Amino acid sequence: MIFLPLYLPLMLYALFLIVFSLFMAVNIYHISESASFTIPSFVMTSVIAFLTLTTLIITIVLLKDVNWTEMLPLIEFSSSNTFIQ
Amino acid sequence: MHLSALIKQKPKELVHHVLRRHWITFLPRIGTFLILFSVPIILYLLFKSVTPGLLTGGFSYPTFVLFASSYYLSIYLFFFAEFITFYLDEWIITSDRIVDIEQLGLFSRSVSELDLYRIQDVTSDIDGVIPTFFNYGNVTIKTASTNAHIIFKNIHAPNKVRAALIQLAQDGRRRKNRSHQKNKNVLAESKNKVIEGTIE
Repeated sequence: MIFLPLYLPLMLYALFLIVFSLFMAVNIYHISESASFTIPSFVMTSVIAFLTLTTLIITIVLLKDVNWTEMLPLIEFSSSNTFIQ
Repeated sequence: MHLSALIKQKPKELVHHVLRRHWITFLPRIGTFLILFSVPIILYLLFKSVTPGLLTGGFSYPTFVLFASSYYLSIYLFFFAEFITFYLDEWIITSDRIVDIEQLGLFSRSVSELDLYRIQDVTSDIDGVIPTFFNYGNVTIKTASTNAHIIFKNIHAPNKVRAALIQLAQDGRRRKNRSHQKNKNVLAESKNKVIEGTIE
């Protein structure tokens, strides 16, 4: 059985968040650079910012009880798992 | 940045129109976004009913949540990038020229200019039921040079824009002729002065 630290997916997620932030910054830079500070671009940026914040908050709420230091088997054989059964 | 800085506006130059694609042409992207948005919800409900234990495991639960979160953030990013590509395509018509700014991707952008007096032919076309209903279409601007032309894609009221462009092009030509005539007169005057011996 292969064991994996639970913080590994969290690390990958953090890496993803860095890339995500960079791309978002590039998008916002494009808006400012092309003199497109208009109502539609403001509304779209606000919607995306709202959705991003909501997703991050939901992620934090759903994962607040997880013990990230745990070492867990990569392949779980659960009795309720009908695919493996 | 202000529009005048973007196009490096000349002292007496006036901005007549700033054109973008019609909003209706962005609807298919919104549809794609909504479909992509609903996929994890459908998958979650499917897994919950078929294999309820799969999503509650010590490893699978946090991994699933992190994956779902990454997926959602990715589609927001994709959608925002699509909006940028759509919205940052713009055409600026001034009293002197047309500035064509095309956002080809997140890291690709092209800017071209065309002097109004060079315009030879302006064509507008509205093709299809939806474009006719919402009054949007393309305007193609051609010059004497065979390879220099600009297309305003899916803009609102293309016929009105075509009429305005023809008028502005005529004004541009008139101005160009006037300044050309003025230069000719100045040149002739100085030539006369040289002949008369006033300039050594």
